[in-house]
Amino acid sequence: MTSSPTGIIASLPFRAKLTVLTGSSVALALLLACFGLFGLQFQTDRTLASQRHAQLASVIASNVGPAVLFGDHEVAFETLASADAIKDVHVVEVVLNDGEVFSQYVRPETDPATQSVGKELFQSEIVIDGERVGSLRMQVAHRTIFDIIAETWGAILGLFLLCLALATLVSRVLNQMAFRPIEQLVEAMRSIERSGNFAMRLPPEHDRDFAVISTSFNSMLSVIERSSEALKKNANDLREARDEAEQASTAKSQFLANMSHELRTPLNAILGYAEVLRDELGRNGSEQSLEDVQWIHTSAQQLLELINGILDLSKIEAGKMELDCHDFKIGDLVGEVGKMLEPLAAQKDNRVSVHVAKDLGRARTDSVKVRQALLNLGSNACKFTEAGQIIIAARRAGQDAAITVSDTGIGMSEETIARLFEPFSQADTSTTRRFGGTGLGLAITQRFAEILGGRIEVDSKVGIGSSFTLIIPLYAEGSEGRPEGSALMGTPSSTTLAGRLVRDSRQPLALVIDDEPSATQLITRIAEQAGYQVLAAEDGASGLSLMRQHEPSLVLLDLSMPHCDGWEVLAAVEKDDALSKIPVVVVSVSDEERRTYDAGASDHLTKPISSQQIKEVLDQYAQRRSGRVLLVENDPATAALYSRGLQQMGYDVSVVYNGEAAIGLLQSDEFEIVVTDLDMEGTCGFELIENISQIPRDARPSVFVVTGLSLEDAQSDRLEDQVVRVFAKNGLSPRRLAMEIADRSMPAHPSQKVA
Amino acid sequence: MKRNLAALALAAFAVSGLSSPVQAQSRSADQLEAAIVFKILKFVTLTTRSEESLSFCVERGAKSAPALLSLQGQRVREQRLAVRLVNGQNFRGCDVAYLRDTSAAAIEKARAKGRLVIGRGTRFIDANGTIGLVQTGGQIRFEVNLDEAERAGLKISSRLVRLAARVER
Repeated sequence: MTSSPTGIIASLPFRAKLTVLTGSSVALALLLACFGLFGLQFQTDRTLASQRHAQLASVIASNVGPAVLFGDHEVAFETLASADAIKDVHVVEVVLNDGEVFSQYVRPETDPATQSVGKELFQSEIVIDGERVGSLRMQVAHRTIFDIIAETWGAILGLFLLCLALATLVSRVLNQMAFRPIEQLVEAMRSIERSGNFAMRLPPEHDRDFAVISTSFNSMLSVIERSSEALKKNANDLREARDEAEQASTAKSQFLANMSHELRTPLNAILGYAEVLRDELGRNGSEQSLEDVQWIHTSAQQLLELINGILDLSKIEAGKMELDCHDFKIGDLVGEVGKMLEPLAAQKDNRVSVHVAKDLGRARTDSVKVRQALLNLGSNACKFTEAGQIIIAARRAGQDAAITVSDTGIGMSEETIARLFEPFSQADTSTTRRFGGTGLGLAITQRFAEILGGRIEVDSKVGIGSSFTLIIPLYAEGSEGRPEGSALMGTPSSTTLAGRLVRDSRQPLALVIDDEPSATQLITRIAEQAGYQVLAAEDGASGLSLMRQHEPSLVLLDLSMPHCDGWEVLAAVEKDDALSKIPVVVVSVSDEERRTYDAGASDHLTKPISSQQIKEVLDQYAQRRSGRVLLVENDPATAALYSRGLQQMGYDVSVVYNGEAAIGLLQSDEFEIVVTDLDMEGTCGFELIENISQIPRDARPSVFVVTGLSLEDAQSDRLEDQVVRVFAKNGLSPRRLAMEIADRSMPAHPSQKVA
Repeated sequence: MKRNLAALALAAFAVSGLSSPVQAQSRSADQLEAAIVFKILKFVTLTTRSEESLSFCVERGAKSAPALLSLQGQRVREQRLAVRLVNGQNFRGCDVAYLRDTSAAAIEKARAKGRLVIGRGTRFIDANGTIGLVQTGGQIRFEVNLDEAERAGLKISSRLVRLAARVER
């Protein structure tokens, strides 16, 4: 671009450009003037030469007249030869009236053959006393333009250079004068750029053109100054408004979190006791009361859903909802959702059908939120459809997955669709009365879709049905993140209420650490039903003390407590080798599962919990297991997590971090169980499993796989014959792993019952 | 009649000679001389007594008198030649005197203010004649005495002087 002359000129600074342009113009003008001078010189020379030659011819004619008259050839020739001094004259001759050449002078260097070519002929009559005696003819070779140039170029070039130098000098001086206002303007702009001071102004300019610029510039500065002040004021107002809004938002979120916690705690008790009552009434055969209790349970469950919805919404709006992305088959998830919806659909005589496109493949996103969004859409479809169809169709749309939940229900008007995703909004109040619901489901679903980087599209016609399409990227941005803690909910201080324990060695001992008496009593009730002796503590400190004192089989720990909360208990247990053997299951309204696992918890049950969940945990730890387990896991943190869970179950666990070490250890020691990851450096899990499968059947350990990999069908088929079970690492708690292994390996020995 | 015809032919020749260079070798000496005299008159400024005519007097007996007489009526500038024969040296009223006798005495007698004195001979101008005609081989040339011309108040063109065989001053 800059190689051409115009490109070079265009790339120059303005000042240099102007100098080049001025210099070029002057040089061109001077060049033209030089050519003009050459032309003028040529023209003048030609004119003067013509005049001179005409005069010369006339003079020679006059002088040669007497010689002609008297026939004096000698004198005539002398007279003609007098033109010798004039270099232009090549031939001079006297021609008599009869045409005879009387005398002729030819310049010696003239070629006779071409003596008349390109030459001008001057003629002058020879008249003596009024009578013509003959004529003088003179051939003249004029000087050409090149002769003129050759003769004068030195002088003209000197003149040209002198003029150019003078013009450049004058141009430079004038440029400085002309650029002074521009320099002032530039300096002012730089000064403003440095200082940000829009209050400065350019001084008045005498040049009218620049006066317009400086005046305009000053006006512009005034406008900017005013705008800047207004912007500052607006920014301050906005900042204040934002701070106020953030405070209000924080307060709102805090309030909602507090309220949710406060509401869920008693609800936990209501639900739990309702279940206990229901079980007892069922055993007693009080049908009427059983129905009443069922109503209490159902209503409490609805209230819990509402509170969970509000909590989710407040989390989303406070920006605290985080993604937990992992790799999974999205078609399988859609199928699961379809199956989960079937009982709900059946209630209103609806049929659920699922269609998954073959090219849908895998996704890496938050499956929990996708599942919840689809369940929300599906349950809505079931709710607003009677004796119809619910169709869930999943397909791939470029880099997105598009999952459509259609129904043949009551449909919606456009007005309804417009406010469909607003929280607490339903079609109308009659809808709420008729169909129930909180109006939070779609709002949460839409926000989940947005968090996942997608959207929801709606198509509906009154009386025909509705169609909701969840469109989400197959690969969500962001990564797995540890959920941050919800607001800590303060409770009044309490004292340890642990009573004196008369330990029955035939029964396992459970320690419940919870500051909420209703929760403690509920768990105690369930634990006792499960055959446990129960010890309770109202805060962490007393809980730790009881742990050291009684070494319970199981600790059920709340997180939010006064003085010493559950986190501190977990930290203390982690540090104490004796205590770390005791399984600690967190039972809390908090849903920070991963954090509790990392802190050393065996499992995390989110309140409100069902008695079934508690029973499952209690049953699991009521009997200890024995046996040697080889844990093969390349991530030390994960290895520690699962190792502890297995040890708490009673297993003797050896940990190695790669396949080679595992093979080596298997050759030297005997293990009943091998728990291995698949993705490891060096010898991978597949090779290890292959190696184990070569061991004779009676000496071969049972193999369990815990992996974060998403297995291809071929890989799953390959593993099917070689391992007992494959667990997805995502969300797998140490307790769950231990329980699954215990259930699928050798049964508990009666002697291994917990003492 | 024959004489008149001869004179006419000579005059015609003389006139034609004015328009062409003199070829001395191809013409008679007298005719040539008359033609030269006529040409010389064109380059001499005389103060004549008449504005219309120039009195050209030929001393009777001069060899070239007939040829000179044939110049009668010819124009020199604005004036016509009035050629006549005079006896002895009676050149009164003559603007131009052509002498037969070229002796010093005769020349002296013919000399006058405003008069051009022409004669033959190499010593003519040495004897204070104004213009002397001399024959060199086949050519007739002339000599000029500028002092005499000046004395007589005559102006002789430098161009004529340049052609002169000898100039006395």
